Amino acid sequence: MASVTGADRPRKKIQRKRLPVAPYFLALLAVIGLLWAASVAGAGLKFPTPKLGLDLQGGLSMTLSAYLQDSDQEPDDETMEQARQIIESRVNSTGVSEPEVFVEGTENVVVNVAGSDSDEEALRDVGAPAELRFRIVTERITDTSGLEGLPEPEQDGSEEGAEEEATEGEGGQEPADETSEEPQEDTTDDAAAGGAQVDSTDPEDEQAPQGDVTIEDVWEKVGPEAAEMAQSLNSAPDAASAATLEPFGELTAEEVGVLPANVQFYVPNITCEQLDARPPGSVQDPEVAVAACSSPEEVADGETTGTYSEKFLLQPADVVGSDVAEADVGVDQANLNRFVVNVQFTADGADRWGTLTQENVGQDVAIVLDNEVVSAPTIREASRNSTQISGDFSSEEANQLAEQLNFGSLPINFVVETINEVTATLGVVQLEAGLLAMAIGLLLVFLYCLAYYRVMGFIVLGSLLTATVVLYPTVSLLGSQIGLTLTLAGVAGFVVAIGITADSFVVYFERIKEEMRGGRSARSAVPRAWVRTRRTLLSANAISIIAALVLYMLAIGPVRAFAFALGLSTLVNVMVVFLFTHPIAEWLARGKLLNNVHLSGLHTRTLAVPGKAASRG
Amino acid sequence: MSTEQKNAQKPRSVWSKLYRGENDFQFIPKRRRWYLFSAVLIAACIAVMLVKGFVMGIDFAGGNQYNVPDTGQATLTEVEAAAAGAGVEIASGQMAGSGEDQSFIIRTAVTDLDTSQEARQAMADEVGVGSDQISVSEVSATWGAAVSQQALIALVVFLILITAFIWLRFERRMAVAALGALGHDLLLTAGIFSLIGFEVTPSTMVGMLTILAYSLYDTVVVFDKVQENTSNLLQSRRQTFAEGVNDAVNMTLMRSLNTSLIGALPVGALLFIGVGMLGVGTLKDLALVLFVGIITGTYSSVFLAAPWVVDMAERSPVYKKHNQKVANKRAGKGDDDETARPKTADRSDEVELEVLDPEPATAGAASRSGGGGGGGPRPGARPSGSGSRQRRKKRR
Repeated sequence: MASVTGADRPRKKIQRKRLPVAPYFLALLAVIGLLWAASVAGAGLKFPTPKLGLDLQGGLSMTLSAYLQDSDQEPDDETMEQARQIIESRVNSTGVSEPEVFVEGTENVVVNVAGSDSDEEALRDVGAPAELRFRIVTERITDTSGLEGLPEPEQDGSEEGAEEEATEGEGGQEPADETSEEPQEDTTDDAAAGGAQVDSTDPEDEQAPQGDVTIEDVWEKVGPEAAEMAQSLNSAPDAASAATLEPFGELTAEEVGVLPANVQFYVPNITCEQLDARPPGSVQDPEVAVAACSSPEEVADGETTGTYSEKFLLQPADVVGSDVAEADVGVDQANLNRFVVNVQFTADGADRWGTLTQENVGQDVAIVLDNEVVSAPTIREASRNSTQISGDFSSEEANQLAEQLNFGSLPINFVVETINEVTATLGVVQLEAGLLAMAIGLLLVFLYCLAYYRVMGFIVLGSLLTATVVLYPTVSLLGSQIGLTLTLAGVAGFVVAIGITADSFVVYFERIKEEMRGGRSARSAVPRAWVRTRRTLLSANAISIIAALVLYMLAIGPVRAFAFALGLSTLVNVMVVFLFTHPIAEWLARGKLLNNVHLSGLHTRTLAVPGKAASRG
Repeated sequence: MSTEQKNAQKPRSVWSKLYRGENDFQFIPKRRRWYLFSAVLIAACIAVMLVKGFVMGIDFAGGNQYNVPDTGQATLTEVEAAAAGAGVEIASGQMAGSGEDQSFIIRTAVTDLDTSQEARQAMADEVGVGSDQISVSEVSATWGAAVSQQALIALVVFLILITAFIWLRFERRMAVAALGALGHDLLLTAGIFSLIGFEVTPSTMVGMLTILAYSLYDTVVVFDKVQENTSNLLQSRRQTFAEGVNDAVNMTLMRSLNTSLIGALPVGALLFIGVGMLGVGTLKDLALVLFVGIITGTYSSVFLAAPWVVDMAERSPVYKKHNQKVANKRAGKGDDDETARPKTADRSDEVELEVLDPEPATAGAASRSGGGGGGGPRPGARPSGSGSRQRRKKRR
């Protein structure tokens, strides 16, 4: 605004003067006009508004971080992009509008969803690897550690939920008792064999994925006695042994994850809670035997409350998620209120599934999704092309699983690092807070400059307003074109930049003061001061820009927006100083104003020697 | 800001001297005093950090933060009790904002998804709103470390780039001094955070980086003036390098104070609003660290960075010799009364110096002439600054 009047009025005068000032104003006007035109066009011929971040308009933002299997090896860009696309399709399938999914840094994927209608639980799962494994069950026991007030660990009759049919749609009514009784004899051998295999491959296969925790550390932590006993287990231990194995209950999920599968399974002190919390990918390797749990079931009858789950010892997987050609949601034939996921195998997968079912008729096959056993039906007869996964699904859950199977599994595992859910109300409060801080900051700086530099304070104000007039359409334009959002941290960056921008004027004005102290008039002091100021400003602002660039490129989290705001402001600041502040100071210096001792704020001579000003004025 | 206020409260003459740029504080001659002061300060900061440690924010330990609107139905204690009843461990609770926007901010330890949702529902029931009216922020225990690690990488890259920049733009000594001043700022800011018990969050870490930029910005402006003031120093015997730098610092002092104040004003507004309206969060974290850092940054560029440059410069033979020349000239001027004693002493010194350091002297001379004559391929390291400066001047 200020520039308009500044440009129009002085033109006549300027043409007579040596230094052309008009071109600067014209250039500035051209830049401002262009930016506004572009941003209005970008906003669809409406008044442009910046794209507000989720913390200012309400919404959910989630950061997923790649869980590195090996601490030295970072996922490459291609893998991250692949993961991003899969996550984006999963987010879209939850039915939210206009989600934003982007890669941040080298190992983070950020999911932004505006509005408050998003389903947090569903969104949280978009980072799940969705690795499907079909594994033959070696042995299964009930884990009752989640129950309170239960004297006897065995509880019959309440297990139907976990028990499903594989090839037929009939509800499997036979609980663990029967199925586990028959194979019990040979599973002892199986377990021993499986255990031996795990033991031998353990140092390479089980320990590597965990990065920090090694199996030796864990053995050390539980003590040699417990370690030895646990390793020799091949059936559930008696009560006395269980006491020795107590230290295992204290292990963290990561530590449990590095233990051999038979230890994880047979040590009763290792609960399903610990197993479920293992890092993602803990049971992913199809080549080895693993231990896993079914999802916890709520129990509430009389004195027993809490959850119980089933613990499984599972054989290596022959059929995996990539063998699935197509998945869709169906209804359980036996119980129309329950949903199932129908799975079609690829040609290759069908062969393997056929072999698997043929060889293991009468045994249970566990369908393992990530770290959890979704269901473990008994194989009644051999089948080939398709199967049905039936857990205790709601229609949403069944849909989600089907989508996950269709989109494929993620190339790398992710863990949820942060979730920020901001209500629209809080968003408004935060936006107001940011704008208020900006207004107060501007006002304070203006008042200070007015007091200190008198009339030059208005140049500061004019320059700051010009910067605002340039920044606003720029931010709007970047919002509509490249999706830059204005977040709270970004607002903070702009507020902080007020100070840095105003400082440019301080450098300039102090320099003019210095020249005038040497006895020059404003007319000759201003251009002289500019020559030096220019150099100083460029050096000093180069530092700010380097800082902003480094932060923007290397930092993660909300502070990147801060860095962006700071960098953008610095660039605009340089432009404003060159195209507005300097020319207007030059122009003012030609008049009498700046030579006025009382008004200019540049005079440093005491009133005793006002001769200069008086003689010129 | 505190400096500013102090100045304002002092007798008006100092203030008006400052305003008129007539100040002539003995920053450089009395630099040892400031070194001692800073050393004590830094030692105290390190001691505080070791003894007291830091208050780490939610992002480092991991945990949840709920922003519950205050409907007037429940007190903070009741809301906390409701959350605790749902099985979460309460870390802290506070009120934020005022009027209609007032809200409770409840922080808890890390929970699983279900517990978090239960706690949210319980608190929503307590204050009588829908659970979607409660903002939630959940952070894993590893996130803070990841953010800090990235900040550390950024710090290292930044320092390398900056050192290179100042080295190229100014000179080696200034790059070293600027780095030293940066270290000082970091330690001092960290010490103040530890002392007062401000919470350290990832935003604080990144705010630190911004401070560094700010502190450097200030230092660069001072250095720019130093460079200007001392570019022709070696050709005349009017001033020693130390005196030249002291003048430069005095000339930029008002600017430094103004910068500090003008920088601190909006940040102060941010801090005030951040704490007053929002209670906790990015805004407060950033503003707090910037506020502290802007003040320490100004202090260090005036009292530390510039004097360090002098210290380093005075160790070089070129400047030693120049100091000697200035001293001689001054002695020669004022030696009407006592001719004999100092003169002989000075002369012997001068001779000795020239015998001892013939090489640097010639190098300096060569580069000076080289600068005048368009420049040799690679002037000596130290005098190159003055040589290239001359050339730059000529071009203009």
